Amino acid sequence: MTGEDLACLLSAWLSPTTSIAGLWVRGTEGPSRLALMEAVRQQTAARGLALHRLSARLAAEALDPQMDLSQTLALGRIVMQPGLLARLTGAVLVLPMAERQPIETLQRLGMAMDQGGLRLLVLDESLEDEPGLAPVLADRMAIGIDLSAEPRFEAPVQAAALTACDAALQSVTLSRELVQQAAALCIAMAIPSVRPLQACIALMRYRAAWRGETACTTDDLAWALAWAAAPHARLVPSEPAPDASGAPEPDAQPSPPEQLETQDADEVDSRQAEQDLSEQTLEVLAAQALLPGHLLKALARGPRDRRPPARREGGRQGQRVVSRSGRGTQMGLLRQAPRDRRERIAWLPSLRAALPLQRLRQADGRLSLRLDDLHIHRIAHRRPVTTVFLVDASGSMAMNRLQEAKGAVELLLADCYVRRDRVALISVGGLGAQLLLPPTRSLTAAKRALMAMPGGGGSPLGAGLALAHRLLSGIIRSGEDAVFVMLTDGRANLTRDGQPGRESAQAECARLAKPLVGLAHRRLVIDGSVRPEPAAQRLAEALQGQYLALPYARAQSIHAAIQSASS
Amino acid sequence: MTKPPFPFSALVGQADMQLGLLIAAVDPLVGGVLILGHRGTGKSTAVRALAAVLPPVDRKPIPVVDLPLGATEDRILGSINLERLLATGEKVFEPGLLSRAHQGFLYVDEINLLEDHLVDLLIDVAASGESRVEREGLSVVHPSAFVLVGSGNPEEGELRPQLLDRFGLAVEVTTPTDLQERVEVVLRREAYDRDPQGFVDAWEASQSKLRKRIQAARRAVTKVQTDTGLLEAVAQLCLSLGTDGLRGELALLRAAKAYAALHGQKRAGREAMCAVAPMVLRHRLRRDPLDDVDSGERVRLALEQFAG
Repeated sequence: MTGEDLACLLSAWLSPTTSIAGLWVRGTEGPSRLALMEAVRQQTAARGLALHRLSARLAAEALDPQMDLSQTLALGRIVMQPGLLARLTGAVLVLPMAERQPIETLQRLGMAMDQGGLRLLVLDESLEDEPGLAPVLADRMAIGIDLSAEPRFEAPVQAAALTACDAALQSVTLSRELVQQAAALCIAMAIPSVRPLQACIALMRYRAAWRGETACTTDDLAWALAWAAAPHARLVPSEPAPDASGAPEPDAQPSPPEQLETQDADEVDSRQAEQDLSEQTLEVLAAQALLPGHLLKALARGPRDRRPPARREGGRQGQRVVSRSGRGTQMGLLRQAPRDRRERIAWLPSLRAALPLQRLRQADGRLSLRLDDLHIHRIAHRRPVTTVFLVDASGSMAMNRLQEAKGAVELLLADCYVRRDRVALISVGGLGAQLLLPPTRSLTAAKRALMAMPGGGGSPLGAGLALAHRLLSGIIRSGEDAVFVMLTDGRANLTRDGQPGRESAQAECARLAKPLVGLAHRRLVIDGSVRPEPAAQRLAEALQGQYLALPYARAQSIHAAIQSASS
Repeated sequence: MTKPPFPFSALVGQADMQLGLLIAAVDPLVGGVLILGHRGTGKSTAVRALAAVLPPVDRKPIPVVDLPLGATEDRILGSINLERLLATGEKVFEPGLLSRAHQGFLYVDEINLLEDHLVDLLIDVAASGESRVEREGLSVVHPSAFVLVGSGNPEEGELRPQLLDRFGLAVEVTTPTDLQERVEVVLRREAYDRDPQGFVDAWEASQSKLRKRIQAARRAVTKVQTDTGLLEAVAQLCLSLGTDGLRGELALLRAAKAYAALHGQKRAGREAMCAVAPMVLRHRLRRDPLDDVDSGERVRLALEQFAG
């Protein structure tokens, strides 16, 4: 990323003539971020704008007007304090640690951006496997800069040059073909939101003005896409489907077209969808031919861009349990007197409620506080996690890797014990599925159940998935998060009602697996067959989860994979 | 720096959402509108646009009140007016967001992420049509009948069934996969961003046409008759889908009448019923969690069987 690129992006963002309001900077503090911030400071100063860094943990209440406590006490009359948003009108705001900010704050900032006038710089320091910036704000980020692109601050920009560029923007034209290409590429990148496309258009025009041109070119398009669309991409166009697991899959060729004829309802659906899209494919291909290498590189950067949709869009991640007591972060208030000693009184809001009523209560100089004034804190906790194992102990599996799988599960149990997380165990074999171990923290109970697990018989996987669904729903309802780990070769041969038949059983599995996506926030299929089994891969796809082939994974490495999936 | 809202008549696509909002505008008693779908598909834009096109009631513009996720109870329900209390010693109640939305719209974006204790308040007020505060020896009841419009992405969290039930209509917004439609969306948006007032002026003719249409439909809706046999058809449809209770039937009738009024029909017939059935019934079906068929699709299937 050149200094020129950065200067142009910042100018497009700060210019009053564009609708570009959000700048999303991903990566941790370091030389790159310092350089970027230096460039931001220079340009805001050149434009005469104030730059204000918000607090790392910003309460949503602070954004809107509030009573000024000290002034009110000192003067004996109500003094209201305008909210942060009103006080900082016109300033450029910097939101640090955005991935840790409460959702209420992010939503309020998003609303302010929609109303216009707010320019926001979001610093997102989340790591690859963390949920990252909440979609409510991420979607409103017109420009995304990953610090691994190493932005540089080269030369200060003159104020006159900036205003000249702003003025030139009015006369820049944009052909319908370019808009069409941009739209086609956004579809190819599987971006459901229209906002990134809007940002592309705006950025394209600004770039042309910046270069002193009056018409946008395909080069402007490619450039704008890299900064406005790529950060939101869920798919990399013109590359093979992303390998979600990252594990070696030598035999994992995409199934040849003949295999699609297996009358799996979902596959038929997806083919239908492909046909519907075929008219657009031509345009997508034409647009892709224009893409220079650096865009593809930008797209390939950062594994978070390639996560499957369910995970990317949030899934159940980042949810919290809120109660009134215990340890955790403070989050919001409740106007209520505390009912036991663990509930903490929020003194400032309580005083705020009491102050206006002092004269009425005739407190003669002393502060009169009544139960009715009291507010208590609401506390957010980390959600406990339960890992649900579904172990396929059918004949075909037992022959292969059941022992190793048991070893991996045992290693994981020890982990869960350390984290105070719970595990549950479902076994599938014979004619049905069995809940061997309801969610527990007991290490010994889990080990005993695991060792006593029977092997052999048919593979009624569908029954196992249905049981897992019931179990996971219960776990979610009780306010916990769940991780679902399936150890199987995917070769189901019995349906839920006990009918034999490989095809119908596997189709049933694919159907039953889907609803689990919304329940367990991480899903993992460990293939226990001798060589990677397409049926197990399809199951992982239906679960939109990770796939791991056991021939390459010993107990230790399965353990490592699960650990990374549940951390 | 407030821009005039985007004109409703300039919205592209999302026919379902547009129809749902218009029906709620014609007959507020239909109940609220729940808009489900991905972000960035123009949900908020549509809600704000609707308010701007609605004809004023009693010469007052229709209020559209935003309920942010971080609102406190005091702000939602209202509290004692501090200034008046200090100046004159009078206890005057300062209405909150809910009473400000009276006879208008209350819009909750990301309603599925709203905290439970606030959801409780909403459910209570939406059911009773009044907001009630008992505090400081003060007991205040404010009329607060509003059309609740909620939007959210169900992938990010489910809605509580009790709240789901409060919505008369549920519409799904989808990402426009049609290229030309998408292009049209962004081109109009771009033109609007570049010159909001000019864009709004250019659409004024179709806006006033739409405004007149809504006004006419509002007057006509009370006089719309139902076709003979429609009642049975409605009951049969609800029975075949196994919806709970009578609420579905009543809502379906009401929405069908509003639809007829909106289309200048004097009688609501099967066509009206079929047009609104998916959005009225979608969220009222008992969900089989293991069945991934979309509920709207189930309603459509039932309608087809019904016709055939």
